[in-house]
Amino acid sequence: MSFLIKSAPFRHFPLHPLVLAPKRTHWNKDYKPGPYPYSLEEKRLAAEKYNLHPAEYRAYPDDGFGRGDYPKLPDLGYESRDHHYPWDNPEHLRNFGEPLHAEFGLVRQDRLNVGVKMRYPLWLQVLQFFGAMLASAGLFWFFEKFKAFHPVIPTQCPEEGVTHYTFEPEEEGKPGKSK
Amino acid sequence: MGAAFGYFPESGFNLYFRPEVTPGPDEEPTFDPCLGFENGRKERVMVATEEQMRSAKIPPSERDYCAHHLLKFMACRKENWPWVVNCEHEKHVYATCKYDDYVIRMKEYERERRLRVREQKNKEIEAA
Repeated sequence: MSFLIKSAPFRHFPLHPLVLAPKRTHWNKDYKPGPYPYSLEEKRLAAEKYNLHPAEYRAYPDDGFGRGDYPKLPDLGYESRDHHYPWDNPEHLRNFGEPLHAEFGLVRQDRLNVGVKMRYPLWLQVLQFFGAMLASAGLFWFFEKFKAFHPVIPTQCPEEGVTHYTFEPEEEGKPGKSK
Repeated sequence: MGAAFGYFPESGFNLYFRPEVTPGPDEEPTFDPCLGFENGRKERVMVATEEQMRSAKIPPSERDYCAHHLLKFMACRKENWPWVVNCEHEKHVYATCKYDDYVIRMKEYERERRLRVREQKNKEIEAA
């Protein structure tokens, strides 16, 4: 609200808590994962917490970039799930209590379909993209360098002190021939 | 289309690779207009007056040596509108005049180009 006021401190990007708050509006202390499970017992408890079988539970490696005890689910996008299976939440293709992928923002249905076997490999797609871009750039460079034009002089408009000529001789005699 | 566009790609290459010999698209002729014409050249006559053109509100780009035909054509259209198909004769006369004007411009360009080639040859002969 403050940035709507045209006063000096708020003319630039509004550094106001109400505007900066959106990132923190849906957090809950219970959402934070627990510490990395080292012992078998901790692993079992963590699997139970996330509704996973202990055999299929594994955590991200604890190398400083891990996620505590949040499970490392297979890297499959949600788009590749069965669309005709009767999910509890069919709009998300997800059952009740199923753990969300840690990178849900990346693998959700309307974003990247990670891990699926593409018809054309990724390197080919990248090559096609840059090939098309380079081709356009090359065409542009070429036609900027060699500008074509019609081989005519500019329009002859009548002016003061300037005479324009045709290619006919002055007298009605034989046409002039240059030596 | 080949007659008008036949030189189209070549012009760009010539302008880039042989600039001394190729006149650019915006360059006026530099040589004496009567050079090489034993019997002289007829001058172009402006038929429409400044007053007429201004009163008919002709754009400056079209106030050339064909403006009198354009005035007749526009007058014919004004009289016959919406049956302007009756103005085909005036339109043809104007188009012919514009065509002849374009041919003169093409000839002037080619004349300028050939004189430049000749000048360069003379320079090479002198240098040698």
